[in-house]
Amino acid sequence: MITAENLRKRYGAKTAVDGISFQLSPGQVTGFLGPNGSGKSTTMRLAVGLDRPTSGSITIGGRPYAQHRAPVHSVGAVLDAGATHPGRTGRQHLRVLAATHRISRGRVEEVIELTGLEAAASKRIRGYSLGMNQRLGIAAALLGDPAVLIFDEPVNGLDPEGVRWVRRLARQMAAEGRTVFVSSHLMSEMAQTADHLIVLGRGRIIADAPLQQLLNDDGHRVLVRTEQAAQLMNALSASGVTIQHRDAESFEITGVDPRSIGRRALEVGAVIHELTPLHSSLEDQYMKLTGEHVEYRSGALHTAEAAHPVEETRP
Amino acid sequence: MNPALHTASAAERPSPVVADPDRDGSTFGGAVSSELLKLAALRTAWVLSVITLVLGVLVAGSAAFSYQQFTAGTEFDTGEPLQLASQGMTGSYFAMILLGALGVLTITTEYASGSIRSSVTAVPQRSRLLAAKALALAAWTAVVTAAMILLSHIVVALITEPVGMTDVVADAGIAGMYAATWASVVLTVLMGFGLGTLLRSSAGGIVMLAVILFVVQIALTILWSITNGADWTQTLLQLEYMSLVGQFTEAGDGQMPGMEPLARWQAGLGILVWTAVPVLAGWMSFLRRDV
Ligand SMILES: Nc1ncnc2c1ncn2[C@@H]1O[C@H](COP(=O)(O)OP(=O)(O)OP(=O)(O)O)[C@@H](O)[C@H]1O
Ligand SMILES: [Mg+2]
Repeated sequence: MITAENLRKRYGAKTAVDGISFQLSPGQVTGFLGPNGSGKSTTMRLAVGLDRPTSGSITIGGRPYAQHRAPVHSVGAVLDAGATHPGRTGRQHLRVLAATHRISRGRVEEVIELTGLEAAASKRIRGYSLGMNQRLGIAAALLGDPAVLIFDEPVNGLDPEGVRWVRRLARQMAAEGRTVFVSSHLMSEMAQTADHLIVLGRGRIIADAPLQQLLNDDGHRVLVRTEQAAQLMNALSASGVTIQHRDAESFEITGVDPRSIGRRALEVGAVIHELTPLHSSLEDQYMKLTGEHVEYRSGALHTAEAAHPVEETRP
Repeated sequence: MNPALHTASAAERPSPVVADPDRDGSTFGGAVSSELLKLAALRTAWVLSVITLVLGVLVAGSAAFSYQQFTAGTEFDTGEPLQLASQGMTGSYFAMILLGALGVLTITTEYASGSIRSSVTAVPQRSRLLAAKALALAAWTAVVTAAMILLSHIVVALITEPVGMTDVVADAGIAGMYAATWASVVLTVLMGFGLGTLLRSSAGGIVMLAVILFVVQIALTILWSITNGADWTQTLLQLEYMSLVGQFTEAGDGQMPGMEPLARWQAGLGILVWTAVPVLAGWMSFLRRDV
């Protein structure tokens, strides 16, 4: 539904998006992840024609957004919450947008209700909170009942209820067969919302895979518990295999799959009482993926975090 | 095919909703009505329009009053209705700068607030968007200017003897002068719009407009006097915007002594060129630049 081919965008000397290609399918939520400045917003702006690609293309339904005859019905985009005139009321903002496609005032009231903006709709946008602005942006995106939704960090500024509402909205839109493209920094959020992930680092794609695959793709880290720990550790050691001792009866091993561990245990006659493939959290995976691609790194913080590594989770 | 299997997979994967590039929906008329809604929701548009009307009528009233008090019946009284009516139009200079500023602001406030991104997303055909904006703006200011001219005329006709109420249509000279004034104001508004589109800055656009309207003439006049009235300074003075407006409305404003005024169509063409340059430059930059 959304297709990028060798999409590249340069701002002066800065290459924000560096020749990326991807394709988004309808019926699923695609999460767009990446550190600050990795080019997520730029890609989304290119998708709706706000910025022009330096080279390459990004199309929706096979055609650039600007060539759609009813763009608001094709794509609903929330690119930034501030794309409104502060002197207008929320309702006026929506009516102005609706007028371009002769969308009825009834539909304007519908999206106001859908986004819970009834109380704020007649107030000037100047006085809106960040969350109200986000809701107004989402209301505007839904106006045309579009086939494709593009949300740039939609939960930014929303309260927990709002975050859940956006998550459900994205899921529901995908369930209806629409294409949903959501950017975020929040891995936990994406883990609950997305079916598919595209991870960007410094303008390049560093991962483009189903969520599940990214979670599993962890180099076969396996927790082994056995009465003959030392014996089995010995038998398994080889190049490319790392073994981390946990306690007298258990160790973590990377580089060998559970099946081979089982066979080896049988050969050496070790009694195994646990053999568990470990999944890292999406957070860990993400850090691992983007670690070397982070451009704006925070200074070291000497907090307790290092002493308390994130617990492994099973999805 | 196994029908049961088929149903199961269909329930899992909904039929995709696809974006159809050929679906109808967006129209130029829609874009224009959207722009009119924006203007009507813009407080500045109302404020500037009301000030224009009030100032225009006040200026017309005081011009008419001072004629009636001090000139009527004296040796300076030509009793020429066209001249009286054209003095009543002095307020159109305020209209040019005030509504011209509105022309700048209709686009620059969109950049300042970021709402231009919503506008371009809703109407991504940029020429269509810009044309709709220009048309809505021209329609709005055309109505305001027409109202100002009409009210000024009524005031002048009420106060002075020679100008009659029906002269607004009955006197070809007066009607032509009014029409030219009206067109000059609307074109000046479009020039402001072009400058705003080009510069994307409210202050920059308004200052530039003020320079074109008021400063160029002063600068050229100084140049004219220090060169002892060199021919080329005379030519420049004649082709300068406000002097073209003066010649177009045939009020004789901005005319240097000893110069043959341009024909009305020539002056009108000159104004068109002055307006077209910033509008075309703004349009090109709007097509090329990122929002
Ligand atoms: N209009 C612009 N002019 C110049 N540079 C820009 C412009 N827009 C973006 N950039 C640069 O391009 C890079 C990518 O920016 P972008 O906003 O796309 O990142 P992002 O992934 O959305 O980041 P974040 O997570 O912080 O929102 C950044 O280095 C940014 O400085
Ligand atoms: Mg961003």
